[in-house]
Amino acid sequence: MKNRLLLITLLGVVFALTGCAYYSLVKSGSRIAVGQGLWVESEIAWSRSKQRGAVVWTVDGPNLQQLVFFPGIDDGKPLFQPVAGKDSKKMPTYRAGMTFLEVMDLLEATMARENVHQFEKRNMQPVIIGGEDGFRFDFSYVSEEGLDYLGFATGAVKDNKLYLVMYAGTTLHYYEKYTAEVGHIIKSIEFF
Amino acid sequence: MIRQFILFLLVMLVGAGCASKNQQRYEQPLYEVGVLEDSRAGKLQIDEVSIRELENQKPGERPPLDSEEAGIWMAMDNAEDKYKTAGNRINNPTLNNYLQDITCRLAPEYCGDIRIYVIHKPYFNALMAPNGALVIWSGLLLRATNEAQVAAVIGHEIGHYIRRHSLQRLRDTVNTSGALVVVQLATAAAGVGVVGDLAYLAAIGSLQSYSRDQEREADGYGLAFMARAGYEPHDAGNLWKKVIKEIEASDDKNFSILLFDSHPPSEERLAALDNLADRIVARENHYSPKKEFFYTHLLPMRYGFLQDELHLRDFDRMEVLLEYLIEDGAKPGELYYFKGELHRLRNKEEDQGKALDAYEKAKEEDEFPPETLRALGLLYQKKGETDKAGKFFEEYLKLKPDCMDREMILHMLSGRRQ
Repeated sequence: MKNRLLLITLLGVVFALTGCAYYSLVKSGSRIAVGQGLWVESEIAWSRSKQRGAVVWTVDGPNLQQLVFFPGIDDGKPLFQPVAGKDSKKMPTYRAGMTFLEVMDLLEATMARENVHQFEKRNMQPVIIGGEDGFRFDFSYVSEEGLDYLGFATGAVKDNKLYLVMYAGTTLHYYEKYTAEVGHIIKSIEFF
Repeated sequence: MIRQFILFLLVMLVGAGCASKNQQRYEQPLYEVGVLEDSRAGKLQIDEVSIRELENQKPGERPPLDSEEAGIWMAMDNAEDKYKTAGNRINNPTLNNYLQDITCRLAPEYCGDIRIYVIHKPYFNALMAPNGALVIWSGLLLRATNEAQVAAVIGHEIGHYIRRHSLQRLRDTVNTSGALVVVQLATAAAGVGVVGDLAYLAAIGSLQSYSRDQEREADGYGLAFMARAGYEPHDAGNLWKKVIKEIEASDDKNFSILLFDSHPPSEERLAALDNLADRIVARENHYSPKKEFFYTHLLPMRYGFLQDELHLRDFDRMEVLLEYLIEDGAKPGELYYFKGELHRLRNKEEDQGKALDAYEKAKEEDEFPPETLRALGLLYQKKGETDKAGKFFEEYLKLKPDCMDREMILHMLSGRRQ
C-alpha cells in the first residue's frame, strides 16, 4: 500500500516535471460544456486538455494549432494559473469593470510572460458572443524558436466574469486549416 | 600582546598584498593597451598575475582542429545558429551595424572576430561566447544613456573574449556533461529557447559566473578600449551605479541574481573603475560620452523596450529606471507616458493621481505617444467621468486615425451618446 502510494506520488511528480498533459477526445458533431460557463458545438473531433486552468483544444498538436478557452475568469484572477516557482504576484490579473481595451492589454501582457515574441495586435472589433457584447482582435507572434504564428482572440464579460477564447496556429498551413471550424465553434457559444 | 600585534601586521600585509594584486588586475590591461603608463615599468610582468595562465586570444585565431578548445568552439557555433533564428532576436541591420561599429572602434584588431546578436529580453545582461558571439539583451540597451555606456559593456565583454575567461568552465562542463549540454546552456543563457526560469538561471550561473579576478581583468580591458576609442571612461562606473539603484528598489529576484552571479558590482569594483577613469582623464582629456548616434539608433526602439519592461510588472524598480531616464532628458513625453502607465497598472493608493499627473506632463511635451490620450480616456472612464473620457478617446483617434482599436473605441463612444 505504502509502495503504491509512493509510486503514484512519484508518477505525479514526474508528470508534473515533464509538463505532460492528459488529452481526452471531443467527439465530432457534439455539443459540449467548456469549464463552468460555456456550451459549444464542434463539427470535427479535437483533443482536449487542461493547462493551468485554461482548456486547450488541438487537432495536430498545441505547437501547430490550439484553441484556448478561459471559461470564466473571476475578479482579481490571472488568465493562467501561476506556475510554482514563478512570481505569482506579478501575474497581470483581470479586474471586474475593465473595459474591453484593458482586457486586450491584459491578454497581451499575459502572452508576454508566456515566451511569446513580437506580439502584434490588429483590427479590434466589437462583436456579439452568445448574446453578450464582446470584442475580437487578430494577432501575430513569433515563438521562442522563431516560428511565425497567426491568431485571434474574442471575449465577453458576463456576471463580472471574463470569458475569453483564443485561437492560434502556425502562419504556414495550420492556422488556416481550422479557422472556419473555429469560427463555427465561436458562433455556437452559449452561456450557461 | 606582541603575538596579537604580529598577527595584525600579517593580516595587514596579506590584505595589502591582495589589494595591490587586485589593483594590478584592473591596471594591467590599461598598460598593455597604452592608455596608462606603468610608473613601475619593468616591475610588473604579465606572468606575475596568476590568472594569466592562458595565452591571450589572438586576432583571427581559431583553435587547432584537434584541440579540446575546438570542440567547445564547435558547440558554440551550434548555439550561435540558434541565436540567428531565435524568435526574440532583434534582427535590425542598422542597429547591428551600429553596435558592430562600436566593437570595431573599441578593438579594431578583433573587429572580424566578434559577432553581435541583440535579443529582446528586458533584463540587464550581455554574454560573450568563447567563439566570439556576443549576445546583448535589450534591457541593457534600454539602460544605457549614451554610446560610451554601451561601449563600456562591449569593451568589458571583449576583455572576457581576449582572456578566454569562459573557456575553463566550459571545458569542465564538456568533460562532465558533453557538448550538447554546452549548446543547451549557451542558448538558454543567451535568453534563447528558454524552457523555464530555473533552467535559465542555472545556465546563466554556469556560463557567466566569472571569478572576481576575471571581472577585474575584463573591467581593465573595458576601460582601456573605451579610452583608446575616445569614450568618456567614467561612463563605465556611471552605468553600474544606475543599475545598482534599480536592484535596491527591485523585488524581482531574477534581476539581481542575473547581475550578482554574472558581474558582481562590488564597492571595490566601482571604486577601482572610478579611480582608473580619473587617472585616464587626468593624463589626457579628449573623451566624450557620444550621444548623437546613440539617440539616432536607439531612441526609436526605446518605446518597445519600455513596453517589455512594463510587462515585468516590477513597478518600484521601473520607477527608478524612469527617473534616471527622465533626468537624462531624451524624449521625455514617452517617459512620462510610461510613468503614467506604471502608476495606472500598479493601482495602489495614490497611483491614480500620480498616473494623471504623469500623463498630463507627457502631453505638455512637443512629442508624446498618442497612447497617452487613450490611457487618459481609460483613467477617466474608471473615475466615472465619462464625458472627459470620451473627449480623450476622440483626441486619440484624431492623433492616431489608423490605430488598431479604432472600431472598438467608436463603438464605445456611440454607445455613450445613445
